[in-house]
Amino acid sequence: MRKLPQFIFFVFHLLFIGFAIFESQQQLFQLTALILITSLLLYFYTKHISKKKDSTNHEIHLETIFFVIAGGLATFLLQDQLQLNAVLSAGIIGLTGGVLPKLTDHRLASIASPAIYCGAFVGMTPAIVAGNYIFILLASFSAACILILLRGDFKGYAGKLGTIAFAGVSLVSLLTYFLL
Amino acid sequence: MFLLLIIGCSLFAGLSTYFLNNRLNLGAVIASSLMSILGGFLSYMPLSEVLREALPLVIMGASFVGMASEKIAGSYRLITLSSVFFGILFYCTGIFFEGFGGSLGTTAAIAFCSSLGFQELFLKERF
Repeated sequence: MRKLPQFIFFVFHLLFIGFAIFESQQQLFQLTALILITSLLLYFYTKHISKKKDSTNHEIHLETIFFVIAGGLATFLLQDQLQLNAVLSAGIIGLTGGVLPKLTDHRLASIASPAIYCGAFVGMTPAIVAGNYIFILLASFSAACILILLRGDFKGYAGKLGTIAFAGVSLVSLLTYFLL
Repeated sequence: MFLLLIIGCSLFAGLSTYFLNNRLNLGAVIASSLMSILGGFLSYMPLSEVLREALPLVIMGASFVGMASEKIAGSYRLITLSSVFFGILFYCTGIFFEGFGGSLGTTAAIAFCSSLGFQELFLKERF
């Protein structure tokens, strides 16, 4: 259970790059580059997982769920209604969340900032893939649960929020694929 | 040529975000979102369709590399290496996960973790 966060990250990274390798079988440059990077990634995980974790307890903030969903829906809304591109929409919503800790000392501001940006990544999913707001709501909810689970892990690592958003979107896509 | 352009943009976005984040202390979210807004405006520039679609994604994705904290990344060297890896990964995987929320962040995370692996394996610097 203690290694669960590392395991979640490992699985989604491996799925992502594994799929890319599978799709690149015909292109030698791509295949070579991806295999080399995968080897380095596997080396990283063997070292990282064997490392001892600090025993700091991180409080669970259920408000995170609200902020991730708000970020996801707001980004999707900007894309869907104002026809802004996904990058600009996520940037605007991310910046709005990012300035909150600079404007107020309220304890929720520092929780809201990364949570809103994580939700914004979920909301970048275009309407053609997401279909509707319910998909974004469910994917944001899944991402928020994973964010809470990983709250003390991979702190300061690049791409943490994006991986969490990807996990949320993948899980809901898989669910809708099997159920609908 | 396209690969070099992607790596160039990736280096610019990754290093600039890291500078804004850790040197100017703007924080990771503000630094990355500012870079994303800059990248997002490229879609409205008179560029070829391929560049208008790819460059904003490269700039935003590489800005996630720059979100790494100084405590973990330690130096610009690691961010440089991660940004190059991000460029290569984007070139190789860009189309497979197009439209999937979080795919750029996952690419950035893979690039960053691989760079940490490279650093420990070849430069004997522990992460």
